[in-house]
Amino acid sequence: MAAPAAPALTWRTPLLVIIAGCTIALLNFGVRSGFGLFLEPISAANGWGREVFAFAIAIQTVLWGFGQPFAGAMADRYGSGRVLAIGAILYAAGVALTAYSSTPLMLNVTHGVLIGLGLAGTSFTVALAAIARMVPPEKRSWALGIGTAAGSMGQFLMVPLGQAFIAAYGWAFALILLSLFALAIVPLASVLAGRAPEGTGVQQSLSEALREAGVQRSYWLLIFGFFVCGFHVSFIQTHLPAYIVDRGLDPATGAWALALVGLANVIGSYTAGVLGGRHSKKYLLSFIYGARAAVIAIFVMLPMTEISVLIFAFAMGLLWLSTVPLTSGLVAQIFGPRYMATLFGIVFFSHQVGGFLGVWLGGRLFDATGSYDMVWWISIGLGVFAAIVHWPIDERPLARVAPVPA
Amino acid sequence: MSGGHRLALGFSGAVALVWGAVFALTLARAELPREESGRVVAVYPFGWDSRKAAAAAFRTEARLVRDTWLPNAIEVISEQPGFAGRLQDSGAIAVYRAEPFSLFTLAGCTGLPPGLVTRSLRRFG
Repeated sequence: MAAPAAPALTWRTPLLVIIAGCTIALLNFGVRSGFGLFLEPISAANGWGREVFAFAIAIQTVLWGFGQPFAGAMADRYGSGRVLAIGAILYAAGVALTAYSSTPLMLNVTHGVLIGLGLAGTSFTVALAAIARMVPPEKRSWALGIGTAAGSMGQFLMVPLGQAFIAAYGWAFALILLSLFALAIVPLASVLAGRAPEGTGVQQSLSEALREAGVQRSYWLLIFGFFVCGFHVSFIQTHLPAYIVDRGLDPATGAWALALVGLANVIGSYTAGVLGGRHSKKYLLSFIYGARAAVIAIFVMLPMTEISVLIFAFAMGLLWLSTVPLTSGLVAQIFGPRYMATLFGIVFFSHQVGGFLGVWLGGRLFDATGSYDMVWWISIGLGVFAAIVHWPIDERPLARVAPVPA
Repeated sequence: MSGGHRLALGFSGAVALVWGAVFALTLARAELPREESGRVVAVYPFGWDSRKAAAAAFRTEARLVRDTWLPNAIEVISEQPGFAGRLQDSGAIAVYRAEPFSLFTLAGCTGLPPGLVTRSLRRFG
């Protein structure tokens, strides 16, 4: 039986929890999305090649991905509030100290290690799990949708703001300002403090929960499916501008396309959350991945114009992170919210692996073949694969044998 | 409209308001004083097309660096003192320091390692 949501504790009403969780997601995603703006000014100020900053970002990305299951496990064990607060302090320290990093090693520690760990601690995994625990099950999918949409909104809004900060105050002070945004997560974390009470379902240890999930076919299908999401999103985000320029369009079209993806993503994420509360989540996921395959196929087969690029961007934006509320919602629905941060953290790690492969393979195959065609067709195939693997998922809550009272 | 949708709209509206206020204050702070010169972005009134904006900028000693995403904004350069002021006199509503921006920046915005994974972007520098 599904574990009921944790009862709201005193002042921590579901409304306040949702608002705090959304703001955390917005700040977490938003601050990170502006890091690319600092690549050139930091490299120029220190006389470094781009590879120095790139390597720090690589460390950050790896730690962020690897750290999520562990941050989730700590949140499940010690409470989301503590993990979010510690994560926010590391995140803010990393962003602020980046401004003072005068050697590559210092940059790797601040921009790489500190921010990577901070991102993991304040990630979707922890914030969404806290939201899922504290709202009633019938509102969970909607709440996960609005949380994801808030993160998407942060990505969309913070890049121009970061650029304006740099223009107004210089890159170093802009980093200090962004670190204050990250630090704002600390007070918000207190709203999400606590963990699911042991009494909300059958008592399980973390290792028992992991063993239970590990033998569930549905859990593995979710992991495979979310891998595809990461592959699509990261490949398109990174290589679409270059693909568009290859086809003779202006680079600005690529930039507008990415902006449109970000805007449509907010709408798509929220809508998916709403629909997930009314319809089968696994079928919605199958539809989303199938639709991605169809949209990509049409895009690569038709002649490219500015209009076709913008239509593609809007359609992909609607399908972008719309998988997040449905996938995280399925984890909570099948396994209950008690260890959701850990279990969803593992699923999210698969997303990050897919993301890395999508970006890396895009570059490798382009270098090998001189075009992106092969990667587009791999993306279409993966979309069909993901649509198929979500279909047989058993989305019923796991039946557990409750201990009989003596 | 359900309470959930109202909350979503309210949250989005509040975020947009705060963002708009911070963005506007920051942009006001970022405006260059009249005596500045160098590589700048001149923003002309909304509704001006790129041709009209360029014609206005070229009434000064400006040399074109590149067009921008906005039709009413143009990136130009001059080392003569007072360049920002002369651009304002030519009709610019604001003049900002031009920041380096390229496809590498966009790649970096993904949070993925740009140097490691975006070799193909190098062709566009």
